Amino acid sequence: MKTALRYFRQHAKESLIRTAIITFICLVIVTMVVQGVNETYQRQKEYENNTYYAIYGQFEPYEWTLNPSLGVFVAFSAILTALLPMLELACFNNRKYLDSAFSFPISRTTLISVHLINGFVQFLAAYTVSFIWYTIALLPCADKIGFGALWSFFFISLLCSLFYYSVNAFFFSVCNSSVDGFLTAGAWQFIICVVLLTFSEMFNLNIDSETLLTILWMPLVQICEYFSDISRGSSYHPVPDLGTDNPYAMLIYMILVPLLTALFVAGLLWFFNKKRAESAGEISNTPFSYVSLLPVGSFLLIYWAFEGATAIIAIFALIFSTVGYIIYRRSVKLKVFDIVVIAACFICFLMGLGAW
Amino acid sequence: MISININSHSLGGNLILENIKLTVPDGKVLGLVGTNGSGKSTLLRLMSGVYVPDIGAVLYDGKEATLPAVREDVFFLPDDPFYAGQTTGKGIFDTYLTFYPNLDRELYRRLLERFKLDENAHQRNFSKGMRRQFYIALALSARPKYLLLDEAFDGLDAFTKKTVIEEINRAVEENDSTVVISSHALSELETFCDLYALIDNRTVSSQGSLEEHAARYCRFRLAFTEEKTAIAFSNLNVRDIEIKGKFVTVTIEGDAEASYAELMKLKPAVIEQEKLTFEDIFITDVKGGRK
Repeated sequence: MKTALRYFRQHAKESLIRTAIITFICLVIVTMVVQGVNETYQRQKEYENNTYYAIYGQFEPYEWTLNPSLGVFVAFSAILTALLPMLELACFNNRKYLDSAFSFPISRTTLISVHLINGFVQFLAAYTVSFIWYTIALLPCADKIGFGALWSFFFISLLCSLFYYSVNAFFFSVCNSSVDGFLTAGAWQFIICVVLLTFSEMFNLNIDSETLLTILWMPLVQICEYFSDISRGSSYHPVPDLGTDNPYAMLIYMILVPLLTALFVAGLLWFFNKKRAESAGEISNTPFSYVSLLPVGSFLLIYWAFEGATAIIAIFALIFSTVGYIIYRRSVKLKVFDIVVIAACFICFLMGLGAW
Repeated sequence: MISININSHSLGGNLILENIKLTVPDGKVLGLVGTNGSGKSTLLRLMSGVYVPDIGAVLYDGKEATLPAVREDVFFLPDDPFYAGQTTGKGIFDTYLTFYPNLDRELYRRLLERFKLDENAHQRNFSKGMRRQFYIALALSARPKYLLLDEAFDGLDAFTKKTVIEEINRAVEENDSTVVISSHALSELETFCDLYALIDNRTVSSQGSLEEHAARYCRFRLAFTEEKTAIAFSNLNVRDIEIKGKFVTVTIEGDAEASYAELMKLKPAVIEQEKLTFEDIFITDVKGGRK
């Protein structure tokens, strides 16, 4: 434990400049965004002082458009929770680094935990400091914006960010090289959602696409919209009720998200303990990378292309994916596992055609 | 004591090491030798816990190398240690200090002074040899019970090699350290290694005391009045022979006096015994293994 704390202190010290740069960039962006909010507020005030006039029949036009722009924090979360785990974990794909790190008297679980925590602390620092600055900068329009709602958004968005962080960290760390990790983490975020949508359509599960998107892809966007609405006052805009409008929402935010986060972190630690230092920088042989991504991706493209009756696109997609797969494997010979994955996708594809 | 018992270890589906059985007693210096790509570095990584053997184990006083507590006594210096572009010597020292809290700062400074290195200089501005000296200073400052050095003399000039050997000898004396060192600088290893292990054909083809091993071989240079062929020496346990017309250089495994007597039966015009270096023995061993 002492070694872990000492290493965390040392590692955090080394990351200070990076944290400062990220925080500074976030502050600059927040300042620019708040400038826009304050301008809208100013117009509303001028309208109230009869300098500006409402468009005929419209009630308090500027107040209605006064948006606290919480979306900027959705963007911060999306970018930083992808970038920081990659920056923190990229060293574990470097064989030279592993030569030293794995010989140090520290367990692998502790070693990667220090990096993961340090990455999230950097996110937390940049996110919190810029949110504090954001609320301070919004003080001039305090009478039009609900700060309670803003801070509620802040804490719930942290939970979602932790989830995104763990997902990205998991998919990045199971790969042997940083390029593979970057592509895998990015692709899975997209593919999980599309896979479920496809299956929902194919097997007529009647799950509406918005619910699926909410569950898998955009909890942060959803809560952003919700809190943006309530923070500018419910009298001007209908407030979606997380409990009734979307029956899955409470389940997602309070149970599923922490559960999935724990699952991804546990998976990450398990796979990291099994990681072979000698494979660092080599072709990623994990079943979570291209081995499943390319066949699944090409299957999805084919499926959706057929729906639009553009078979030629499907054929191009198939050729593109196959070539991509061969380039990745650096060989035209496919292993048994690859053939099993492709065969499974082909069966799904045939079932999909049958479903039409 | 280090006990290595590795049945097999593969890299990327290729078998690199098999049936490795090696014991290094405490306080001894073992020289790990072998041709390029023979698996010396892989063996050191297995010993340091960086790699986990496919089948087998490396034990330090009976405990597995994969346990973090065991690695507190082990310091592994890889052939090309990692450093970030902006890292200074001080930064690296601080990082290592978090894992080895007993790093001797005074010894570290003394060694840097001896190697004429500035700890505030960026590592990227160091030459390969300077970086090697820096990391050797760091490794010795940890005063580890077990010191594992991969390609220890790589990039060092003759003078610095001598200095490094002196410092390693001092560390062995002061801390009763056990050192395992891989190198192609066989003449240097010869001067301070107690034991050797030759890695050839994926396994330890020979091991033991350097002196005892050297005593197994003898080499003679002979000149004859007429040309000779290798058949003439067939009743001797010849390990290596070089025939250039009437001149023959022969390396024999066996007692030197008995071999001399046997060679005299061939009536050479001139015969003289040559001292074998560790390098000669290494070449003889490897050639023998290949045959």
